[in-house]
Amino acid sequence: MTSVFDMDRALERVDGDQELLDDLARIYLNESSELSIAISQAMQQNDIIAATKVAHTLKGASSNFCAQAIFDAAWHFEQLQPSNSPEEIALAYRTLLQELERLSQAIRQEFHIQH
Amino acid sequence: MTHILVVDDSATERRRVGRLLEKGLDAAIVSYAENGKAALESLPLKLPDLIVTDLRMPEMDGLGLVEKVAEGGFGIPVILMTSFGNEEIALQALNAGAASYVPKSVLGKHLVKTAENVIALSQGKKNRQRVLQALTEVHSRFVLDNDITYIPPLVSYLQEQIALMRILDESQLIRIGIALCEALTNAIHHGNLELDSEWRQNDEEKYFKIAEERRCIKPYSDRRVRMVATLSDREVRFVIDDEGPGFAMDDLQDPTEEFNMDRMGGRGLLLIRSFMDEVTHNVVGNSITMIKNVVPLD
Repeated sequence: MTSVFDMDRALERVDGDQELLDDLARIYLNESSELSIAISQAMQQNDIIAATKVAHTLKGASSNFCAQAIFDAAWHFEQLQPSNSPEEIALAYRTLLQELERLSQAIRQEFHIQH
Repeated sequence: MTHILVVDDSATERRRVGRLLEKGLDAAIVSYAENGKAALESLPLKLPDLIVTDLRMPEMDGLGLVEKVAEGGFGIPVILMTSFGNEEIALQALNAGAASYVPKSVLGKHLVKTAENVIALSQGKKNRQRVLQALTEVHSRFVLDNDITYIPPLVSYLQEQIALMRILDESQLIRIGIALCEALTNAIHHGNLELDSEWRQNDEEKYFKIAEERRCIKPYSDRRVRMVATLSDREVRFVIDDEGPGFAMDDLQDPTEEFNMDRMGGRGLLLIRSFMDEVTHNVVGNSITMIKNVVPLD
């Protein structure tokens, strides 16, 4: 187990299929990068609802690696409403990006994937 | 080959689910859609044997997809992939027609088994449909007392049998249903209970009150209505006998006469004659035979 995600549980989720998990790691890095851009664009347009929907997809994709921190960050972001204060929204966004970056790095390292 | 359509807005999830199914099921071909709308658009191209769908997605969510698949009459079973916080929408989707669900957290353990079960059940239904299409004739006999509330469920049952045999189309089913309702009501009300349709024309409440009273007193209460239904690939035939004294056909007002069109009396017979190809009565007037010829459906 790395500090960022739980390799054993991630394998369990795919019924012990290491090849599939390797595949998922590569797909996830591409997908999370696209989702990160989509959230960023929604935030720039001040469209919190759209951003939270993308965060939901990111949470689902990240759950394949049993990464609790990004799951929590995405879940927290998903609960945001336009009525939340700009500070709360900014903090949740920052936390989500940080956790996403941590998980992406850990996956690259663990699965030996180059940038 | 079993064709499964996996619907999820996450590429990672689509891959995981697709691989689990490809690996776990014999001869499975998996195709993918990013949301309910894309899934629905893909259906005319190739109907899958099973749809496995996420619930929360952009464009059209899993609930919308389940509803559209049910509305479209595609007959494709849908398995939902649920996650924490989606319980309410999952319940709605199950009520709307989804076949089953598997929590996303245990897909690895339970998706394949659930898919196998749902596909087996669905195939069973399709095989039953094939067997029924090979069925060429069915005879059924029914004996009814004088309770008209039996009529709608009996007619529904016969419509269902005809639909399963695929011998008449939907519009003909409705017309047959109306003709049957009218003929059975006539047999009970005018045959066994000897109610005069003029009473209904004048005072409908009184008419039904007398009907209720007569249902409980002799000789009316001893009388039965007997129906023989013959459903075949040549014709649909219903013979309905009552045990009343009968009536003289000549005494019936012609409902097609302008004067009689707004009267209740004879209306049933007009509908029966309009909807069936052949209608005959016995001499006594307490037996009606109704025939609808079957034209093979495409």
